[in-house]
Amino acid sequence: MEGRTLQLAAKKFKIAIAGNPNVGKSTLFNELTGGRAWVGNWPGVTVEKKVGKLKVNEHYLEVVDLPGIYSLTAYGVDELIARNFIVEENPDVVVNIVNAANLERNLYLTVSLIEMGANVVVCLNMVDLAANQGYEVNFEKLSQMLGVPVIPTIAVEGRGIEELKKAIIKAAEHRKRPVGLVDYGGEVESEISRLSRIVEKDLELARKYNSRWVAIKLLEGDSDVENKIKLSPLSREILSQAAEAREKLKSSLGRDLEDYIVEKRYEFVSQLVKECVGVLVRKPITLTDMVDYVVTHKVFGIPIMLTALYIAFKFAFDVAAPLCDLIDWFFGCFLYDLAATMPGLAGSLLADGIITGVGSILVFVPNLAFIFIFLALLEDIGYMARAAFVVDKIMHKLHLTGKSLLPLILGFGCNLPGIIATRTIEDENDRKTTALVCPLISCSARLPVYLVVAGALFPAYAAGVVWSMYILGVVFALIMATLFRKLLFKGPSSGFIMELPPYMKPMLKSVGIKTWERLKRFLFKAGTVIFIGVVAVWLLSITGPSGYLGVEALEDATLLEQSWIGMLGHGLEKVFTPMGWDWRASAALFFGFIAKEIVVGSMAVLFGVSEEGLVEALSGAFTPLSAYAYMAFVLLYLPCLATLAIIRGELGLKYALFTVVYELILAYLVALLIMGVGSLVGLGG
Amino acid sequence: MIPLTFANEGSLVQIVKVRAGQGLTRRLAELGLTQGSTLRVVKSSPPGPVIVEVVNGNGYVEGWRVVLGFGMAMKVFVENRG
Repeated sequence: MEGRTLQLAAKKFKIAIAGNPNVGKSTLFNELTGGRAWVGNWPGVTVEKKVGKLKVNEHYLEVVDLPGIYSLTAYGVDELIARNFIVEENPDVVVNIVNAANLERNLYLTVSLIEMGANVVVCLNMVDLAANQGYEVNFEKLSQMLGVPVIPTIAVEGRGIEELKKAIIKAAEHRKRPVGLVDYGGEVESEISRLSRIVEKDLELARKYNSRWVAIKLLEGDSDVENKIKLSPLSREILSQAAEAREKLKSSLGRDLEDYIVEKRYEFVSQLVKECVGVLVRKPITLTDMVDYVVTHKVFGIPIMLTALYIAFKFAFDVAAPLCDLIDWFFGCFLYDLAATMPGLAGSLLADGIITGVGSILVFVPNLAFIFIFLALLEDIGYMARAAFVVDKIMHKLHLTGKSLLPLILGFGCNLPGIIATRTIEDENDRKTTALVCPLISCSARLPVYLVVAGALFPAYAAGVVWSMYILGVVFALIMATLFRKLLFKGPSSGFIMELPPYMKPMLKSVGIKTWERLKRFLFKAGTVIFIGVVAVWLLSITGPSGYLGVEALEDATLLEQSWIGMLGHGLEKVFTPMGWDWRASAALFFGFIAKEIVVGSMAVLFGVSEEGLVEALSGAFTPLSAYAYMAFVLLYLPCLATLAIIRGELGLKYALFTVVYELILAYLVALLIMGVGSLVGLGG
Repeated sequence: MIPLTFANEGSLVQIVKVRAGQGLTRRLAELGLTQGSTLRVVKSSPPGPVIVEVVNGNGYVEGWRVVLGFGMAMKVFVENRG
């Protein structure tokens, strides 16, 4: 009966982790939960919600990873999410992770959390880094001054985690009444206590919120708290009293009340740091100083960035090439041949549809993985924030900011993680613009198309032609961004402010997790959306207006001409008359909607040759000029299905449809322009 | 009083005024840039982005670094402190 008694004693606690970005929040989450998390979205927004579980002794803990935030204002989406979670869900403990090497910066959030009435346990992380930089934090004194437990840790090494778990359980079992922390000065304090007494008259409000916090927020003019108060039967009294108090204090202080309150909080934080941080040694010039001098240099900054990125991509493609070939062989030969031995319809669906389609996507996984690894390394070292600084000046001319850099660069690997990375852009207009132009960046899926077409029509200078496609993609992304920013999302950017993290040794685990999370999305979308798309195209190829054509249609061009796809190709051929693309090349574009690299495979099927024979077939079907226009069209014409699904998820259906329309128009016009200009200068025919 | 953009690299400046909307002013404040904060200009490329190190008050803790993008640095007005 031992199990029974254990069950009776076991309790369930809800824990939230809060902290600034770049302080090791994800590492701590993984250390606590063993990395096993289920990921969902916060209600109403697409910001990720990570939840994990752990068991300490007989207690079950549910751990929620809140977004990385600097404060608890109502200005940012992430901040509102964190704040609402703490207020509405009332977690038993909020673990506030702070960077010991940068206390003054981090403790602002800590003070805000305690002020809000959260049951805080401070995890003083990176104590080793602080010691390296010459500081020593007196955590006992800090704990005493804050009135909450403070546990020193080195999360990346798993040190201090056991003590932290114990402190969490202890805090959860003996919840203390929250106290006021910051003294805002006599006059403001008396208004705070007057307002909080009025708030307490509504028992429902008093039960749910810390009345002192509500009073302070009302004095700050916090719109979100005001909206919450509006639901109270006493709302009129509370809000009018708050407005009165604000006016009164504003005139007696002679300045903005909001500024004053933020400043007082900072003063308190400065005091904490002064009393709790000891300086061991003071280094005159840090490594960060020296490296920053070079990488953000006026002249060398951009060449250094381009070199770093060039190395990243070169490395990714070179290292990945043999792995890609292996996967290609596995799907294209081994699995295909295996499936082709299956008789009839099922064999064809498996071989020509699923294995060919999904296989051609999976071929890119090694490329992507290595690009993501290298970019994650650059991010973790702290370089990407510097790169954002370096390009900010150019981006500003295009009405964007330096923060758009990372999403666009990720886009070269695959547009999906690029679009997801736009979440880090705070300005809504900048974010939407960046996400909408990201599909114009030439992802690795487009490369096979260029290679085959350029190889067939420009054998002498194929490499130059392929490069020009990448440049064309960037140029159009930037042009469209400027246009969108001027016409669609008007108004100045709310600007770009970013903390520059100190340079750090990259952690294998963190790089691994970042890479895997980006790759995982790609795999998931590839596995679902592309699977469905491939099956649809396969169906449309073996059936036509006359009914079922048989799986032979996929091998026989004349039969394929009778299929729905054939009809479509002929329809498209008319649309593309000015470019002179024949029906097979046109129909292949339709396949490319599923994933752009399928264009090559479908042309092979449609021309009735093997992929090796394609070069010869294409040199007859295109002129160099029409081929160049074709490549540009493939670059620009449509985001692939998976990208479209992501845009829909991030920005909504309206913007997904908008992307389809604008890209089709853009691609058509550019192809037309290439034909026109080319004929004029005598390249046609 | 000059916009932060025009402060010399390496100089120490103090914020006199922030001429920006409420949201931005708040965002700056969260990163430690308020009226009276002392900054060291680490990197400046007028009128472009600026990197500053916040050396607020006590000087015990080596400040953190913040990038202010183009335009942003025009809204923060400072006075030279050497």
